[in-house]
Amino acid sequence: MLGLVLFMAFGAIAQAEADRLTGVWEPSHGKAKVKIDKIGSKYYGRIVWLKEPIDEETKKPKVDKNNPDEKLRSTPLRGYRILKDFVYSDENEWSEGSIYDPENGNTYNCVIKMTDENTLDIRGYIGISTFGRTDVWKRLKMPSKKKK
Amino acid sequence: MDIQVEIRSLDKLFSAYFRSQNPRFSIMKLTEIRRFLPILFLVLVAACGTTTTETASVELNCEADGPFFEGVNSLMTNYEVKLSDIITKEGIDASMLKEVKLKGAKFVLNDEYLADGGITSATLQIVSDQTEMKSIAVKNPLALVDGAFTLDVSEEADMSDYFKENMFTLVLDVDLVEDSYNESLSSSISLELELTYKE
Repeated sequence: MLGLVLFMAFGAIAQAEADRLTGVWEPSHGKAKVKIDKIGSKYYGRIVWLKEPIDEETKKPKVDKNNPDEKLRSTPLRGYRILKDFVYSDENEWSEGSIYDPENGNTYNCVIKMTDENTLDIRGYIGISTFGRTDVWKRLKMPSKKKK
Repeated sequence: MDIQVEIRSLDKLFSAYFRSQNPRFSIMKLTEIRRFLPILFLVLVAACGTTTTETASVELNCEADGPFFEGVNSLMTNYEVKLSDIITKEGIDASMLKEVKLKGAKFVLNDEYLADGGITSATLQIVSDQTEMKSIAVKNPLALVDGAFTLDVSEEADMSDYFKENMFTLVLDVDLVEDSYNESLSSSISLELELTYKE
């Protein structure tokens, strides 16, 4: 009985640790904000804000015009899931996922490392993680209400 | 008897070829190769099974708890895979599935307010524990007719990996024009599938 209680307690702690990834994050370029949430046992991040939401050519909200699948090119960029299928591995790291770059339509393998509670190192790579690029994302904090 | 003759002539063929490549190639190696010929024969027979394609419909209901905010909100549903419910031929299991294509995706919203122009676009995605998330259909801009809408389906997306698992999740992302303080939102889903399997 005690063993079961301890097992459940450790499970809850591990879950809370993994769920620290959820929230709204801003990439270093500042052109978008990405909300990470959980579906099933994996983590996904979708664009919830764009600095320039309107396409200069079409004068309409931006769409995923570089999607390799022609039938899906009308998918709106706002709301697009660019981070997919991340699993908490250990030691502040979420792996086995991918990141999509809407500017060229490419999908890269990706590892997320939380360097502190409000900072993520997002490393996109092809093949092995040695050959890739890391971007630093910052957690978006809600402005606290001022006391009167 | 004929098969033995065939094998003997194959032996001669192999022998001639390998000797031309390497004069030290021994008869011993030829005997080893001949040992694998029945296996090769069985592989060839297995590869020649009958391929059948049939269409099937899947009816589901996806939902989400409110409140909902302007922008993209997700409705979800789990689908428990039971091939015998959707394939007419008996005895077809997941290992026989070669391809599952989405041919149509129709939705009917239960919300009168949203059904009347409250949604500007919708995207349908599929995901499971073992297989990565994939977009399979989209509509932007969205044209609602009495709360019903149809998505444009991806011609490339193959869903067979999801049907080889026990369960998968469908995620419908709908882009709301403004906040909605409903307790919940749901939509019926009707998927038209084309399944190809090898007997």
